Amino acid sequence: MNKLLLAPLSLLCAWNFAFAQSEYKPIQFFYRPSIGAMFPMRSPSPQYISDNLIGNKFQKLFGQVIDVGFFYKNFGLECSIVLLPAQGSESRHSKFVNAVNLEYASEYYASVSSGAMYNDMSGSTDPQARGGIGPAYKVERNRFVFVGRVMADVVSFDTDWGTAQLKQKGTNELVTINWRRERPVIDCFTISPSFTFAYRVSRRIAIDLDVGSWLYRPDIIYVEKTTSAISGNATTKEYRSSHFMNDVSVGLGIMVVFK
Amino acid sequence: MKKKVTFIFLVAFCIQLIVACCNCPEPTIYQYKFEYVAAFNVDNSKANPIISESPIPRKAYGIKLQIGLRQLAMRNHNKFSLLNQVCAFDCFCGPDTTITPRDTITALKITTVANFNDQYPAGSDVSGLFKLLRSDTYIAIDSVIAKPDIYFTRTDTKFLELYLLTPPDRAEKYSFKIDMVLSNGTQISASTKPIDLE
Repeated sequence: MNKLLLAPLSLLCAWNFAFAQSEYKPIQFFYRPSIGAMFPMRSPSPQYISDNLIGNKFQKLFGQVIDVGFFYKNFGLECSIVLLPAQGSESRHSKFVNAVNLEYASEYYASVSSGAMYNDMSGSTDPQARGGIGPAYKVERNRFVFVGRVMADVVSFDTDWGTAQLKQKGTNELVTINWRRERPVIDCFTISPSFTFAYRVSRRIAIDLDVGSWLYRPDIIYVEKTTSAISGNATTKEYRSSHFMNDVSVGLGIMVVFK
Repeated sequence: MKKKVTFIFLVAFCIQLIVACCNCPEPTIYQYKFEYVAAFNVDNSKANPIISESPIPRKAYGIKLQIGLRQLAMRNHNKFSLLNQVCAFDCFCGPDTTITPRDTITALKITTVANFNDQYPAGSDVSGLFKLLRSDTYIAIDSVIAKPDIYFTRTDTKFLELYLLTPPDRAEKYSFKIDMVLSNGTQISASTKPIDLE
């Protein structure tokens, strides 16, 4: 019987501890860097060779380098910049070559001179940038801080262009296939609701956990141009993808309370 | 007077100092003549073309032309000058050796030794059925005549790859004769060994 009473009493104590009158002043201004991972719920591209030329397909980890929030009472404004370092272009290159081989290896020698050439020839990564601003609402209970927000963002990521030289088996035919986009950079308007749960370890510092969702609709068009060396004829085919994306992000960070 | 001479030398020295940012060696220029031409049957059915005497698929036949060169003379551009010969505005030096042909190719003709098809009996000019492969692109054989840089080389042997883009109708034994006419009027020729095109 005592144990039965102890359980609700403990819960009541915990509740009081969590949501008792705050011993800290309400937060007015914070800076909140964090790191985390992005989980796209679906592929941004039409499941073709050109997928491997889209930068954000390989961008999973992110660093929220800037996130500042200004609050008046519980309402505020928050803005953030998130960077997602891309996978090395060498890795994307090998994935592209593998995809070309998979598609054409039965009829062509594709590995001989197929390849992808990237905008960034240095081989370094091209980070994907996401930045936005939006209204926020916070609830503070003692050491616990809950912030909910809906931000209007821009998701910006690079795309590459690729070329494959194919030699047909048993003939003199050489086929060149190019995959191109008019503009290498894709910018998308994004709505991203997110929530932050923070625990204040001191007056100035809190540890926080973020969960967010990035809703956007990229319009990705790749033009595939196939040219026969013998006939000189060229055919073009368009691969278009324009559907809603939902990237779920989970991050862990520090909230620095300035005021 | 001494001051004027000193001034002129100083000006020349300063210009040289400014303009010659790197110390490139003087290039050696060789001149050559075409010595001979040899022709080989090429099997292009695999990933890379190979010289073959075995039967070759008709759609994957080619001829590899080997043009042998002989060095004629060597010129060296060592001249006295107050200025460096290499007045480079960057530090990229050109090739140490430059080889230029004395003569250019003025005609290149391929004739079929055997009956190719009804349209091209034995002895016909089939140059139009072949094309030259250059940088993954097929170009007309006449381009060799129009653009001598195709066969300008820095080695003593030059290879040209000619591919048959219109295969014969029948699987038979074929042979081709290649005639080259040079700008000095010399004619050099070669024939491929008879080969079964299957």
